[in-house]
Amino acid sequence: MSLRVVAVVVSNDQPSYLQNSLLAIERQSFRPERVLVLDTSSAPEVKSILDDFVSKSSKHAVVNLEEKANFAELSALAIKQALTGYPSLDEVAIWLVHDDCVPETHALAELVRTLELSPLVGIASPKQLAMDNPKLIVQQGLTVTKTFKPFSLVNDELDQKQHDGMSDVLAVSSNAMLIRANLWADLGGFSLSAPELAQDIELGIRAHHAGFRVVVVPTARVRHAELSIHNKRDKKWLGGSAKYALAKATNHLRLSQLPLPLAFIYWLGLPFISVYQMFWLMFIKRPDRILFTLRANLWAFITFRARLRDRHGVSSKPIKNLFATTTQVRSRARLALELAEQKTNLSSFENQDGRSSTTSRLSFVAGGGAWIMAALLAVSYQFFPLGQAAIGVFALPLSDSWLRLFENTGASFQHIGVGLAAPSDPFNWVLLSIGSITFFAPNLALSWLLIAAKSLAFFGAWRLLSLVTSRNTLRIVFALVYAFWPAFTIAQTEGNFPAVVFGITLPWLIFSLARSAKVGLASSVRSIEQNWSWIAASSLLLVVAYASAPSTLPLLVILGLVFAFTTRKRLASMILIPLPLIVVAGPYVLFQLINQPLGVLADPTISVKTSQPSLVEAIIGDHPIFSWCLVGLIALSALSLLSNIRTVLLFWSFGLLSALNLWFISGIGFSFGGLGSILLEQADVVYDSPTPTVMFFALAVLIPMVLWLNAITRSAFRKALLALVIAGVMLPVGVNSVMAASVVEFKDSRNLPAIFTAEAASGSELRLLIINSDGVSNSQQFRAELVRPAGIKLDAVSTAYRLSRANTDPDFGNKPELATLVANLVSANGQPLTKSLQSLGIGYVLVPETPGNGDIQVALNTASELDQVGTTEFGQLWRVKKATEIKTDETKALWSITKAIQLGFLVGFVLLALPTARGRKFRASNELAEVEEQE
Amino acid sequence: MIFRIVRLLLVLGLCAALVVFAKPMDLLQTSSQSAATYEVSAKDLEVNCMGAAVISGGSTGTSTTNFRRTSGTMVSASYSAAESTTLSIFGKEFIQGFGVRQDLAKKIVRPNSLTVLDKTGKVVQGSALLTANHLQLITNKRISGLLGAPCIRPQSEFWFVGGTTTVGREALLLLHNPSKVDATVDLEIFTENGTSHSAGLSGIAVPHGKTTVLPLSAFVLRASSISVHVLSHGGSITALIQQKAVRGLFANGADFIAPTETLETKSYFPGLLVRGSQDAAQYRKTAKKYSDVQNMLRVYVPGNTDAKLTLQILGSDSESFGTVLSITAPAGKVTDFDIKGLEDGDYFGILDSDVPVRSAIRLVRAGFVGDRFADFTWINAAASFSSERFIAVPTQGISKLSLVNLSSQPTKVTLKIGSATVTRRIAGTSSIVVRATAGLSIGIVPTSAIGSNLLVDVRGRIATLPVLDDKNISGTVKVSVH
Repeated sequence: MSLRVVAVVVSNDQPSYLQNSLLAIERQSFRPERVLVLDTSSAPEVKSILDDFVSKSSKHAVVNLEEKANFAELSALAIKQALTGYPSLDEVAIWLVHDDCVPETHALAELVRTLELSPLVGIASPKQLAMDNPKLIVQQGLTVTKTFKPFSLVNDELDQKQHDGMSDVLAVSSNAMLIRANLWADLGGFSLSAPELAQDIELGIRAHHAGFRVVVVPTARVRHAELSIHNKRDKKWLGGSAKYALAKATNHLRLSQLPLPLAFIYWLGLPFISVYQMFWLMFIKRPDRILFTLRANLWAFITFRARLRDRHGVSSKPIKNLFATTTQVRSRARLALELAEQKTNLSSFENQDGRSSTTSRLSFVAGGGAWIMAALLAVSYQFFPLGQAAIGVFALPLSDSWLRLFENTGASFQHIGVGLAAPSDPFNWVLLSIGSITFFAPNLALSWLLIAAKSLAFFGAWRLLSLVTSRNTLRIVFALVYAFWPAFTIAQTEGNFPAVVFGITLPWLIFSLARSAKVGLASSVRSIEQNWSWIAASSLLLVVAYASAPSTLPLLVILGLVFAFTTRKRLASMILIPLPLIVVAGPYVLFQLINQPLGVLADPTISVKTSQPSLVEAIIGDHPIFSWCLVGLIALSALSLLSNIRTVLLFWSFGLLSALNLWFISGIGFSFGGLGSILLEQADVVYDSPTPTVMFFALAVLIPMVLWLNAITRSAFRKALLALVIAGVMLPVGVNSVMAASVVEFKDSRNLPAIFTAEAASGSELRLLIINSDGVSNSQQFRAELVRPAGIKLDAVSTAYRLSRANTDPDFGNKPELATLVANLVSANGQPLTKSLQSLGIGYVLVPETPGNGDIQVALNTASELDQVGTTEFGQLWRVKKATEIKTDETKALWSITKAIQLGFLVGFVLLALPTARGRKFRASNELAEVEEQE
Repeated sequence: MIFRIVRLLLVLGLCAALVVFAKPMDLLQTSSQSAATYEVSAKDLEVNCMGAAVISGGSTGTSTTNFRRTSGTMVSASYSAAESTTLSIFGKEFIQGFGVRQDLAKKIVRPNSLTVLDKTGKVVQGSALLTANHLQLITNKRISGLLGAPCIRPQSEFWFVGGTTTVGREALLLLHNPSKVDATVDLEIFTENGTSHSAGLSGIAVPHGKTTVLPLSAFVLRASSISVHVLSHGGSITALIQQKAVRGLFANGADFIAPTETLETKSYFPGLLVRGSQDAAQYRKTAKKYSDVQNMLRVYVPGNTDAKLTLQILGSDSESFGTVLSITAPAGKVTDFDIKGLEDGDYFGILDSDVPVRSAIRLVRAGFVGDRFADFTWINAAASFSSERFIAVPTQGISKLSLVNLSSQPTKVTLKIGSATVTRRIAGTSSIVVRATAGLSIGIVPTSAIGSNLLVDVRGRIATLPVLDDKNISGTVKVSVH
């Protein structure tokens, strides 16, 4: 053996590992000529060890450095020091050893032998075994995938000599690698611009380009603790987490190894790739990787020039045969997934309690739930959408065009009335989601929602109750009581879409929160991916809940606090739950807080005149007989407090808080007015719908009752109570609910005269002035609304506008001019009106056929500026003879930065929430493999 | 177990506390929408007089489509003659305003209008500016009675409570369109059987400048209790119901029924001046055809809830003692209730209802000896007012102004009669009756809310002229922009 070896040990604050490492080097069967330790430690124990080490032999040397250099710089410096004094480097090799590495006795000898036997071998690396388990290979050679992602050829595999035939690889780990000194000198050592995890691969590639082979020597074995990869060092060699370092390395290799045009395109495309990766990571339920991926992409984008320094103008084609094959990648991925599943199953098994594992459960369909849903659909026959749109009381049609619906969603300017710069209602996102189901006719899906309301509410309640009982009868009966609850029925019959949506959403929200928190019977949450799905589902349902019923904000906050307390050990991931709500509702809430703080509690719908809800009537309804049934149910549920179930007090506390919230919101009067209110009965103030809070109360009463009945061991007593509930509550409220007459009509979505909508559709910007009296003949009080070509649509309704000065202040904008015009029109005093009509862009005047409007109609007939069009189904219509369109920039921007961010978050969370069933294993495995390939 | 009982009691206690104490109350409120007030000039005030009574049957009395006017009706008007205004009398004569009130009397046959032309558009409109009525006494075998009605501002909507189409009773709906735009009229007719669904109730043409006469029997034959809702589209119209009674071969009783005011839960009926009560009783005993020579309350209850009513007929002086009716009127129907037992005297009525209703009282006058007659007049619930109003007093007969204090506190009313001014005190919820000078208008200046009707007696026959305050939309108009 004529090869002379210089060992270089890089040390940093790991005294115990270092001692073992140095001892192992001393015991090598092939002794290095020199052993140089480059130490950057601050620990005094290391100094003592090194002093001992130096004192043992004159061939031992130590270089202390305190500067904050990276591994490439340190190793370059150390090797330079170690080679000092050698006249020729031809027969010299450098053995670079990490301080957390313990080589076996013959490791160096085997490596040296390989270099001596083959002069073309430039770098040789040993088999790297786990420090605490020498039978486990943690690494044996490195390569890249076809897309230049670093790839570990062997990773956490039991050593059964299955990889002992391996030889040539693309690159090897820097730990314990033996490299010819002249090759090191020629290559200039590790690239100083490459990130740590790319340095090894980059060196290997350059060695190949220099005509040398890079090999692993399975007979040479070292144990390696991989402290940097496992983030166990104080000094962050990797500049962050291993995943971040890996992402950086991938970007570096792509920018430095891809052909220049492709690298340039990749660099330019990094922002878009980032967006794609973000959504992809959401889809595969790994949102935890988003931040470091984006950070790595940003790093690569900014430091592009530094990446170019590692381009050497050599094609990678000759070494492509050393790249990882698809089979290798898949095989590794599958292994990684199996390992992850094993860990998850073990963890789930440890966390299971006896109760959930022994419970026999019927699925929803097997338990007859589907049939009951169908029956509920049947008994909701009066909501069968014979027309496209539901119209009446609260129900307004949506915009006919999906694009218009999209325009109105997340908009920053409200093109209604006199106009206002204000964010759209968050509820518009809910409407957009529903309308998108039948994107060709958005109203259709909304109409179907009414007929499906009871079924969906039943389904949600059934799922929620399945968390507290496995008895199917209990779930069905009480889920039906929830679906038949009078407040929900009233919301359905009045077409109060926000309240209906909330009633459907609430059980699902609580259910998904429980799933996220892993509470309740037989949780199906076993994997990280499933948990992320439930977290995302909770996030989205929270958005829907607040957007539909801001009046429940205090209850949602309390629910959130209870949830946060329950999941306090996993709070970091649970923090994500309110994120979409903050993004979606944030601008609206901020606007309201600045302008009208109470607005954050205002219902998102048109202002219908309602009486101040009474607490008792709101909860149990106003039916003289059936209401008492619910009183009985509440009383029965209160008896659950006598049981030994602790949680019933929690639910009852929530029930009382719901009642308190109901009383509170019933005392808040909100401004009347806004879009479409001209067609409704005049009111001074309007009140929030009590339905959402009542549905909270309903669940808070039903769940303790179910818990109690479920816990009753005497079967006869339980059955008797259940029979009482069925006969005394479920059937009466069911009959009441089914018999409740709907005031919603289903017809086409037009709610303004055809001639106006037709002109608007053809691009006319003429506006429609609607004049209404206060319902009394000879009254001197009138109301007016200027309707823009977009018409009166549910998605154009703006709560921010209704509560703002634009609605309440009579001197806001051009309202004085409009009011003066109306006053002159109704008084038929012969004043010239053309100028006002033109400056306001009015093309038509409509007077609804409502009591007290006869005089207005007569007065308008005397106006020489108007031509009577005739009677329409919405009232008497006049055309302005000399109408002038106002060419304003009223076309809403389809996109805005705010909307893009909101949509991005929602889409991302939808992807995260989507169960990925069949493809999940494969995708997850790929990802796992990618992350762990360097570990 | 004690803990469980305690928690149960605690929850029940809190529930009870919420039910008892958490009553709806106004805690917080956002800014409410406010209406802006605008001063606008008004259209010239025009009151239209319906003209002389109409006789159906044409010249032969047998035609079903021909109607002819009787000789003429006397219009009495009172015009403030405010400066910068001009009164157009039926489009023929003009009186320039010079600041001295003018009382006029003109005879017309066909419907015609009095119009105050106001160049500035700033003059306050109302009965103080212009008020008029017309009165006609007819005694022939086709129609006989005193027919009086106010000249009213053309409008788009009218409600009438009165009329009958039973055998020998004829109710004609007179629709006149004084505007320059053709009008289309829709009718809703309610009877003792509910809403009429007869054909032809909608789309009735009333061309501009023309009068359309509709026999209500064409829609509701042999209906004893009628209420009519008239709704005009297009032009504004005026409307009256002409009701007459033919008893046997001879007409005996006629009146114009004027439009009522709004729905009320409390209505006042000034001017129940009962005379010849014993003669009326004699008539009723004579034959069935005189059965309706009886004072009567008519009530129309809109909606779906029956009305529980209490009618108090109170005397205007210490010598008159009234009566009280406690009755229930079915929802959606028109119901009549006889007011029996009223001796001769001056009365006024108060109708209390638990739901808003429209109501009117038919007051009868009869003479059984000498000039035998049985006339009637429909007295609508009086409009409440607390600001100055004028009424023109007819030149014929004896006119008496009945004033009712609508509040329970005493009030004072100043009456301007020509250049004289008289102040009268009215006790709380009480009434006074003031004799009016024929042809001299009366200005009524109350200090609190009152109601008033003018009863005219010509040769024993009676007619009622309500104290109205016609004005176009003007002055302060409130507009809220949504």
